[in-house]
Amino acid sequence: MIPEQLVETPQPATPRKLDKPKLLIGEGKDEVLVFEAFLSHLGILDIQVEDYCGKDRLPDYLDALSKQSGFAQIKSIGVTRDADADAAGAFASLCDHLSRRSLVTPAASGNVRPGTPSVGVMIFPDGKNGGMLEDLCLAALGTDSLTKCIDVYFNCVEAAKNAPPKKIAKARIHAWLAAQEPPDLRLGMAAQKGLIPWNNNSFDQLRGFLTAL
Amino acid sequence: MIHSFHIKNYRGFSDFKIEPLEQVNLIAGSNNVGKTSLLEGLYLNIGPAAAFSSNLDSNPDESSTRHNIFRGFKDIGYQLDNVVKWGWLFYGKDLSKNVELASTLRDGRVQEITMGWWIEHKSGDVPLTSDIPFDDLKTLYLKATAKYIDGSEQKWRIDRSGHRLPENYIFDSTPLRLLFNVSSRSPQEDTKWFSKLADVGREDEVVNTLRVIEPRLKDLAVSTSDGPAMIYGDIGVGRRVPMSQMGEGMVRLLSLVLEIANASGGIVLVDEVENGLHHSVLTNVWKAIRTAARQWNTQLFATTHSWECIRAAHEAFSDSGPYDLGLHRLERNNGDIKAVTYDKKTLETSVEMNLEVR
Repeated sequence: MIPEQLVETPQPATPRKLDKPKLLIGEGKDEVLVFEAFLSHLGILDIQVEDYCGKDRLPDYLDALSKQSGFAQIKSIGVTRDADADAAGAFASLCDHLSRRSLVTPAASGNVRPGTPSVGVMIFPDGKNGGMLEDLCLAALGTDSLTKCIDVYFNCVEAAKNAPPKKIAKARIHAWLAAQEPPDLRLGMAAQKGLIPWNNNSFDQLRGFLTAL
Repeated sequence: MIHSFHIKNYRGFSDFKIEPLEQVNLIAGSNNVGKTSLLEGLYLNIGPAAAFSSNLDSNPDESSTRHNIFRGFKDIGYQLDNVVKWGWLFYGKDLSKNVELASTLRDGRVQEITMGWWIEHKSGDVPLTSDIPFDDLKTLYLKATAKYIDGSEQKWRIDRSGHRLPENYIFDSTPLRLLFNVSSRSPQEDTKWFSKLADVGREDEVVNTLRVIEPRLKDLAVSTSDGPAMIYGDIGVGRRVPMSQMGEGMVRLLSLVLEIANASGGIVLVDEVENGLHHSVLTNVWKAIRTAARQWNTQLFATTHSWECIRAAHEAFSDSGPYDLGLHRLERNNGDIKAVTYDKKTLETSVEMNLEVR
């Protein structure tokens, strides 16, 4: 029997292993679920998807990744993040983090540069405009019958608050998600359930990026 | 304190370096990647006199003074009746290349061990090279040379007739202890090492260390009242309790602390440190090991397969004082073994993000 005063460490989770030749990393859990669903739709099986716990933790993650068991076997890495207000700034910041760790950097968002390993960068929604992954998904949902309802709702919200929501794309996605069944899905789970129209042209750039990785 | 260790042409290591080394070093990696070989190499480097001259060792009953004990061979012997037994020590079994084991201390001093095969010739012995055929084992011998940190040197010769001891025998100066086969460790062995500390009045330091995980412990004492000499602990329940009755975790920790204490100023090598320890006690066990290693200024090298063990060690060393823990994973890359060393920051990130480090 173990003395009571010795027991304090909870059972830790099984650590995340690198076990595929290609790696795609996103900011958080939603990105992981969205990418996994899209890769599954595309029939791409050799890309592992991981998250780096938000853009502020990307440098720490890259440092730890380079030491992670199995990293030497990785052939290519795709790094993604949201543009937020500045797509060019986000791209430059991300490339700076990569080059500081002796990783090659591509010429532009959506490109993959050969190297050991090859590295690709994708800034959402399109590498040019400000925004985030949710903007890309909204673009793909453009013809969804709920779009008009969401427009009406946010017109009402803006009138009531005298200002639109700060992160309008995230807010509109949540409004769309609230109209799904069940109504409390996150974007990632909605993607896993097949609610995102992957064949929409809005995903062409991301499709090309993942195929090139 | 060893800062770096360099291995050439030894077992699976072609040209291998591990640095920086900390006070406590965890060695991880998949099976058969060379973790035990690394401990073995350290053993040969730090304790060559014990390794090559065990019959002169001050404790001849300790079969662990022979390096092959790491492989479960208790009495491989020094006779060169089977070259293959010693050929295992050479990278790719290539006997034409010398084994080189070099440890560099933090102050820059180096201790180096070389082992190579030589052939006797009337006109003067020559090193075995790949282009010199030999068909008579009588002429072949293994020469081991130790260059100590103080500049002194001694040589051993191992041939068919056994091993010839060097003139002006020099004892190893760095204390060295091994702990690898837990299941075969007897309470009497712990009793012996505890008594050595008690003889110099340092038993209270062991008690203080064990209190990290057993605050009720008042003192330890050796008693023969129930038979063979054993260590008993006073935990305030009236009669003293045999340590063996306090659970496997306490017994394992006592063994670890005693090894650390008895190698004060030196090195302890531990194979599969997590053996016998439940994951829930590991953080406190590492706190005790941390305390003991600092107290006795002992450097520890321990292999592990356990993620829980690594996490617990990180938590314990983050808790107080300098972060003198190093995690080193051995891995094969294009056939060669290399060490991937984590510092506090990268291990912290890996623990927080639950990334595989083993």
